Amino acid sequence: MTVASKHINDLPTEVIWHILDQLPVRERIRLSVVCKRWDEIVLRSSSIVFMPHTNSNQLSRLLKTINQSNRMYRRVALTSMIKHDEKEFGELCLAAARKFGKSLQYLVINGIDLRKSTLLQVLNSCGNLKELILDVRVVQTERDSRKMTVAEFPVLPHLQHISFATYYNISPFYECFQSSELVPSLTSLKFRGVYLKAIPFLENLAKQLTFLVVECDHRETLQALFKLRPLQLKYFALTVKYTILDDRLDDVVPFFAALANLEKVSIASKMEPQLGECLYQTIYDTCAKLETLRLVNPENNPVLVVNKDLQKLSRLQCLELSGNNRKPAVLMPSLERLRIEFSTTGVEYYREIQSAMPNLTVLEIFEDDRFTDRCLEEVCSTVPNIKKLVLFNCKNISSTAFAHLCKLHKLRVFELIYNSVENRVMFEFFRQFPPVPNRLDRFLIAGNVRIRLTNVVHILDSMPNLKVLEIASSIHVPAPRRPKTKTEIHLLQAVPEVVLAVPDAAGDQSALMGREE
Amino acid sequence: MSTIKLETSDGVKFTVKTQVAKCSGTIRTMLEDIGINPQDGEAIPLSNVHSTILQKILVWAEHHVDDPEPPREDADAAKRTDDICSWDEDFLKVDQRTLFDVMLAANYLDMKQLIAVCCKTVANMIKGKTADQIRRTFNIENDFPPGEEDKIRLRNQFCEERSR
Repeated sequence: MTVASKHINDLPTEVIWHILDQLPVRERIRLSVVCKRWDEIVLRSSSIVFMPHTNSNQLSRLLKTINQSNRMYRRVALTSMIKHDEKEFGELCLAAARKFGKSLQYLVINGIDLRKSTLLQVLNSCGNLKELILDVRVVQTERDSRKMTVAEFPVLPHLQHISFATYYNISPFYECFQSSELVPSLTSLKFRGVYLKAIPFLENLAKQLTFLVVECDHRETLQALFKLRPLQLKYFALTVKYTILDDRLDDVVPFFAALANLEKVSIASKMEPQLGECLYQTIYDTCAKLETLRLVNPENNPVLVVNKDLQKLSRLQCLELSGNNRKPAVLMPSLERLRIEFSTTGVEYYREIQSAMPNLTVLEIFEDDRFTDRCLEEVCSTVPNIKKLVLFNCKNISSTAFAHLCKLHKLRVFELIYNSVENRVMFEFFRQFPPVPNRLDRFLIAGNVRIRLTNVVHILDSMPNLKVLEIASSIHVPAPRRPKTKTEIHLLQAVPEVVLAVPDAAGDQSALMGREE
Repeated sequence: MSTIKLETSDGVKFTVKTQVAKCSGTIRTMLEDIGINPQDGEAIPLSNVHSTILQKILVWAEHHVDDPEPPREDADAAKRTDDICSWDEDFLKVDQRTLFDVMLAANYLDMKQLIAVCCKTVANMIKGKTADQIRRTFNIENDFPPGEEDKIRLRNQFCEERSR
């Protein structure tokens, strides 16, 4: 009697759940936008439960759901987007904490306001928590402002990571962690915004932190931050959007000079040139274990990043640079991945890459307006080991230059992204995409560009080993060409996976998809 | 070696080694608890499984019949989808329709290991894709009323932050 199943949604809910259960939790949650059924499955899944609170009428229903639940959830996300609902939202958080507290390992609190006393009670019920994501303003009522007794502090022996996904100053929360003994396993912190009141909290934890991500624009806070000495840090990322780092922040350099264990560092900030040079020099001198270095300099300050001292980082595998860096590269034998996010000197620059970085396998070029056809030719003829090449908004390059790609015998992944509004250039690209005989596994085209169906067929034709062709753009099917030849159909079927992410041209896309059958 | 007979939804009869058939929890229960006696020569009816799919499943069961009992799943263990053995990988290189048919049948037959490996395969097809790409891959219709999708995205906002 079996009617042949054709569709993933013919599978029973428990099987779909089993599939989703194989995915990392965040990816799974994102899947709830796929369709109604998946949303329901994600919401009711056995290890994560959502308590989205979007209007007052829902509260009693949600409380009932919580109290009637006979599952013990490990992950719970409580969200509310209603203003002035701290009482209701608090009630919801408390009910969930009381019911699931013992099994909870991952908790998201995402709302507008939450009272400090409520948050304390919630945390006190969740002794097994491993990860906490807090996106809420912690408010203090009069009753809350009295001094806390030791017994009221939450003890979270397994907590490893806290992420403050909020820009609010949540100082009442920091006060709950006055001693690192309360959170002995906490090694990882992520702040969207750091304020001065977080500094004592950070100070308490400085000795045990290995992972710290900080976004901050407040000078005094930065000053206090750089006075800390988190000597165990392996990963540090600093983003400063508006403030300019200058030498009045006198602890910046000593701060980095103390971080000898760093393996990954990312600094995205405007900087005075002098300070920048001194800072980079310090990193090259101290951080001998560094494997990834990302320096983003939004203003193109003429800070000299690459000099011979960069060679001291003998374990460096990945280098991402932006800002003005016209100096030629230095010899970096350990480097495998280079990302350029600035305007180079053009051909000269690319000519030196191979001799400077003989082991380079990944090259990503972002918005280099000096990257011309000659540059691509230079890269293709001189850097033979490239496995992955990314060109992002490199507009001064013409389609004929892609013929050189066939010289890269090891190239497996090629990504071409063009987000500029002047989409004519890219259109020309694809009108005559030259045959590139190669062994590409993965080819991605994305951005503000219209691609003709013939181009797609052409690409498929020239890339026999392609496993994934991803076109995140609109496909233009010219009317006279609509009836397709048999050869073209065959080509489309030959590729195991053609991902067509067409945001706005549903009609065009169905024209293409329809022919696959 | 004892054998039993299985009859599929389209009336095809299969003679299968009892040991292989017992890879299915459903058949095991029928034989052991309900006491269907295979010696009677009567075929066990599998009214939810088509012969083409049962054939495929038997190939899998034959290959895995001597596999040791899987360890009890540790709830905390990191989920892995890259540990599919190459034989299974080749076995599951089929079109989506067949894959889902196999999954449905494996679910009916209660074959936990086969379901697990199928789910991992599908999870690998989902990984790293946007919602839109997933809908396209599996031909799923976006059945949200206009605006609803944005609301859910808002609710899930915290998942969008990515650590660099």
